[in-house]
Amino acid sequence: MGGEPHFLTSYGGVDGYWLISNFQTVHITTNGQEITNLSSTPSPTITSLMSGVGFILALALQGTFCFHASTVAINHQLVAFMGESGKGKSTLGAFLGQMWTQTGDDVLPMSTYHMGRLDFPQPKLLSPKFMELPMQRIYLLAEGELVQLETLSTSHATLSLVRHTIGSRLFAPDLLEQQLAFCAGIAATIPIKKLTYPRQWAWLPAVAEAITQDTRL
Amino acid sequence: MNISLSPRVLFRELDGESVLLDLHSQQYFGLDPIGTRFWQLAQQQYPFSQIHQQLLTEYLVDSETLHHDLQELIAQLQQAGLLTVQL
Repeated sequence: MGGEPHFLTSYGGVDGYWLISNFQTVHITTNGQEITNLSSTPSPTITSLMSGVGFILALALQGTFCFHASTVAINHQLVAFMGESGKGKSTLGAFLGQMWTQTGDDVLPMSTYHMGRLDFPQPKLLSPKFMELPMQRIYLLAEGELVQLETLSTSHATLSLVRHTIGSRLFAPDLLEQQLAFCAGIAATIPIKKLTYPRQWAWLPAVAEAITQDTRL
Repeated sequence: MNISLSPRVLFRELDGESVLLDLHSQQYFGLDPIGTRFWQLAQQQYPFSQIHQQLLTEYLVDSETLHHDLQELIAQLQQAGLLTVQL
C-alpha cells in the first residue's frame, strides 16, 4: 500500500469487511457505500487503507472490479493493456499515447452495469470524457522474441482477468463468486488477446503497428 | 472408485472449457474440454468406471490412454484438494 510493505488482514462477513493493518482498522459496509476509520488516531496507514485497498474493496462490493491495466483511446474505443507491475503496461500506454490518447494507467475499473466502461474518475484518469467509451480489446502483456498476438479462449481469458483483479485476495467467498462471474462475462463479450513482444524501446513501433492492424478488424 | 467433489469449489463452464475456484484457498484452476466433461459427470456422482465409459463414447481415444489420463487428472485434483477418492 502506498509503495510501502504492510501486513494486511481482512475479515469479511454479513456485517461487512474489516481491514486491519499496523493495528489500524477500517470497516466497509456490505454494500460498499461507506468506509469508516475505526482507529482513534489518523495516520498514514489509515489513509492508505481507506484510499487504497479499502476503496478497491468498496468498489468491488458495488459491482465494480479493478484490474491491473492501462488504457488508450483508439478511434473512440478503449484498448486496455493488462499486466502486473513492471510488465510494461505504463510504458506501452505512454508510448501509444503519442499516437492516440492515454486515458488511464495502472488501475482499470470496470462495472457490471456498464460493461467495459469506466464508471468513475480514478487517480490516473486523464479526462472524464473518456468515461463513456466502450472497451474494444484487452491485451494481456507477455515478453517474447517477436511481436505476436494470440486470441485467448474464454476460459483462459477468464483466468487472466481473475488473476489481474486488484485486491481479490481480500474477497470473501461470495465476492469471489461475483468476481468469477463478472470476469467470465467480460471474457465472453470483449476480445482478450495475449500480446507478446520484446521488452525494448526499439520494438514499440512494431507493437503499435500490430495493435493498429488488430483494432481495425 | 467413487469420486467426491469438494463442496467449497465453484465450477464455471466456458465454451467447453472450465474454471474451478477453490473458495478456501482462493486458488483458480483451468480444465480442458475432457477435464470439464469429467467434472460434470463427477458432479452427477457417477463412479469412475461409468465416467470412463461415458467419455469413451464422447471422444476418439483408446480406453487405456483415457484411463491413464483420467487417473492423472484425478491425482492432480486430489492433490489440489478439489476432490477426494474412495476405493
